[in-house]
Amino acid sequence: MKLEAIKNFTAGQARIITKNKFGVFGSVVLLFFGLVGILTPWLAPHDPWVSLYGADGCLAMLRPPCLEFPLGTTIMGRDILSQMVYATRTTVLIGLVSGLISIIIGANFGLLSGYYGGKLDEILMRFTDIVYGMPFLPFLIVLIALFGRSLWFVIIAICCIVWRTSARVIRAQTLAIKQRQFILAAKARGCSNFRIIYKHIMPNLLPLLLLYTSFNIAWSILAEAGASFLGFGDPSNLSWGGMLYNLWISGKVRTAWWWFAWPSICIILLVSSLVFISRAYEEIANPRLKQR
Amino acid sequence: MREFIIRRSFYTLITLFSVATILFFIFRMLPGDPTAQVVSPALDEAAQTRLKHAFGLDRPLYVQYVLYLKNLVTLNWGRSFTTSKPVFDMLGYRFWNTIFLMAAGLCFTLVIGIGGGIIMAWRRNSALDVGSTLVALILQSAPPFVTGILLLIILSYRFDLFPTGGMLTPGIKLQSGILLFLSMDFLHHLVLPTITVAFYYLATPILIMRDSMLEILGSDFIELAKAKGLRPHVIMLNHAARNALLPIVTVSSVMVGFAIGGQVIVEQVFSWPGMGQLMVQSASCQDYPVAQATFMLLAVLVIVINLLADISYGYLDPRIKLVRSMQE
Amino acid sequence: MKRILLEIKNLKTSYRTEKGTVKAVDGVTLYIKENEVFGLVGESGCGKSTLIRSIMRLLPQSAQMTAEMLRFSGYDLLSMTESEFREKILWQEISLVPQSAMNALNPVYRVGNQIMEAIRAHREDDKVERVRKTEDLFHLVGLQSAFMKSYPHELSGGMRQRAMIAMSLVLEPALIIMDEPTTGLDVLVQERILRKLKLIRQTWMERSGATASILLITHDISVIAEMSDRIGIMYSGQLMEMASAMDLFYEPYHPYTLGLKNSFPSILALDSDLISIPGAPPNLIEEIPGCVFAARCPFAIPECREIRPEFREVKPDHFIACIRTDHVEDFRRLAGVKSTWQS
Repeated sequence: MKLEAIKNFTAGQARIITKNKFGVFGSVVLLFFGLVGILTPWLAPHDPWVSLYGADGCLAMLRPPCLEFPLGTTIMGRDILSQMVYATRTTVLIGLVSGLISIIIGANFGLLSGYYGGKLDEILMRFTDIVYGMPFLPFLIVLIALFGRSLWFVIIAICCIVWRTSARVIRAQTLAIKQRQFILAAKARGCSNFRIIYKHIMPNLLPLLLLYTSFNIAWSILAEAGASFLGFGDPSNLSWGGMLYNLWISGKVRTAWWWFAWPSICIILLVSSLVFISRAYEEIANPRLKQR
Repeated sequence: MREFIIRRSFYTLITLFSVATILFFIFRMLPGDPTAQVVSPALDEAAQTRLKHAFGLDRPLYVQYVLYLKNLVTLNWGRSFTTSKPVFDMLGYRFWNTIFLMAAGLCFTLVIGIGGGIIMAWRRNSALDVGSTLVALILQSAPPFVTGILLLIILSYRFDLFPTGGMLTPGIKLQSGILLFLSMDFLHHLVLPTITVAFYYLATPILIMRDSMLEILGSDFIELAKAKGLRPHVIMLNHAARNALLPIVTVSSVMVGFAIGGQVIVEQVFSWPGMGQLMVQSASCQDYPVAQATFMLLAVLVIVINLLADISYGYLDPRIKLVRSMQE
Repeated sequence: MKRILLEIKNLKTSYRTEKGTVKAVDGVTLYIKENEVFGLVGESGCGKSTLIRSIMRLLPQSAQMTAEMLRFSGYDLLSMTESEFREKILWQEISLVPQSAMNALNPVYRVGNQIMEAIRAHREDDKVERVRKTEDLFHLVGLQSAFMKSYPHELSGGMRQRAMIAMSLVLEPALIIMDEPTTGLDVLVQERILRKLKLIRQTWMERSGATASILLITHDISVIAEMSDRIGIMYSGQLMEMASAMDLFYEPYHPYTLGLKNSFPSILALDSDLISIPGAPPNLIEEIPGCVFAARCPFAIPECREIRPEFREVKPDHFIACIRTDHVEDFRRLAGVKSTWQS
């Protein structure tokens, strides 16, 4: 029974996303990066940390894209293609994990706050206001500066903040749905609050939840890229932002266009694919955008 | 209305207070010697003990907390570990530099965002509309360091149209104060960072404005406005846009929270001497008093702007006053 | 003899949708005279709202309108340019009191200003004049002038409707279109509003010396009976019958009209059951050969389903779209019997 429901659900979502040109593009890109992230060890031709030597026997420093090194090399002679492949894994991982954790936090805050109202609502919303008062990137920087530059700290730091927008939005929707007849009917039947929230209200919020999951993943990726670019990323787990940090401190921005191009393009591609998919969901949630 | 402002301000104070408290505790949770963020570990033992006593670090936690709050409010923000100068002095001019850049970027964004959104809604589904949506979505996906460096590569390195960074050309002697901000040299340096900041914020208002306009254009009162025989641009601006602006004000407070992050990055890319740059520098070399104070100041900025946005929403939407007064 | 104010010949409006073309108005011919109340009745979805939007050029882009003739008071509405139409016709000659007046006012502007805006768009009056005019109308509809400074959400639904009525009168138009003015109200309130409307119209015409016709749209026959001089019965995008109120009630021709009359409980015949018309209106996307009502008509013959009946004049000023008018006496008799409708 459960398996069927899941299959139907996935098919339905796939239909929604592919109905729209944006959605199709987004899904294709996501699939691509997902695959690269999974197949990393098999895809990277070299070890991303090893300084390589070209066919001519010299250190392959700052080589533009050529047959030997299709995406070029860094100032330390490292293969950019391999770095890109490994960085994809890091970036996708951080994005997914942070995005999922934060939507879980945000959705629960929103649902509980909206459903119970009263004191709980006050407290949760005041807390959300406080989190809204924290500037995102500076907070990341402070946490990482204090606790160390590890992958998990980055994820935790991101999760502390990203959930806030989804919390407010989901609370607003919960308030609206709470008034509807079928909820009152469920209450009259004696359904427990837990059931009502998770079995009745939440499923109705699905498009919204998926929309914000998409956003949260996108924001997490941008946040991590930003922090890494400023030098606060995990040095042992390279990400695209981290690659750009290396470029920036090497001072070779003027000359090594390839070192700048590939990580930048990938960040833009990945995030925009998420944004495009979100747009497909937004058009469902708000059909007036399409009509007339 | 006045009640509304007072209430909002009160909540703002609570938020400020909470953020300061959270900051206090975060810094205390530092692994290792918690006093390391106030007293530089570079000093010798005796000096450290003296300073610890002076800062009340040998007193119980709650006393330290009160002292911390007192210092925060009286602008006694300690001394930098690296320069030994009072933190407050260091932050002084950088604060204005950041504000100026933010304000410039914000103006640019709002003008293009709101205007663009209106035009896109008017020429719905035209090439302009679809093209602009695409551009906006891509800009939203590009982190500011990407756009910033790209602009540098094209406009500065390649075509030498703009300086590569900094706020002023080194060596130029100019009057300080307001005149500084109006000088040609300054404005020349301002262009690229402002464009980068603006691009970073742009997608949100332009798309929201467009969506908001389209939603409003389907309303009954717009139909009536047409039936009244009003001219199309009057309907678009006075009736549709005026209502469509409301969500932008709400969303701008959210934007600012994210935007400060963008600000930090832009200042780094363009070596703009603002708070963002200071934040990064101090965090990198563990100059905790400076990092703490800079963070607090940035948080204050976000919170105050949120308050202003709330209040202006109250002015713009007459329905809000009624709702608020009914709730209280 | 009253002159004809609005004349429509064979107006057709269709919407392009994902599922096909919806023929919302499928060849309507009617006329409205000066200084009369014309009631347009029909079930929900029969095309009444589309018709008025076609007249006032308020259709969305996905709609297409054609007509053989659309004349108003000497103007040929079909050939007018957008700006001409906007300046001369909209609100000046034809005004509208929309359905759900609640939402027709812009929430961020004061009510008085919205009315004065209508004046400003068409006249060169100075501010004092405008304020005076608006105040006058407010009093006419029974609102205190203090409310001119209110925002729409500060007024009750009924007050907003009255403000809308005031707004519709402000430029002294020759035709006022009222879209479902009493829908959603209970019977007692309806009664009050209708009486008020009659009073307002009378007073206004006496005072300003202007005469105005009203095109009253509703799905409620009793409202029509109260207010109208002439009535048009609309079904599935077409007019079935058009006549003076007296003629329609005492000598109806069309089976649909006969059916509608049955739907109303009479206080005099408390024991009789309500007789309703079985079935439902057709889908407006389908092409229906012959008479649109044939599927539900108890008097339909095979020919009814083949040829679309012409909308013709059977008596002076009494039009009907039915090929079996010769049997009308029988129909009138049989329509009152429940079994006729149950076959």
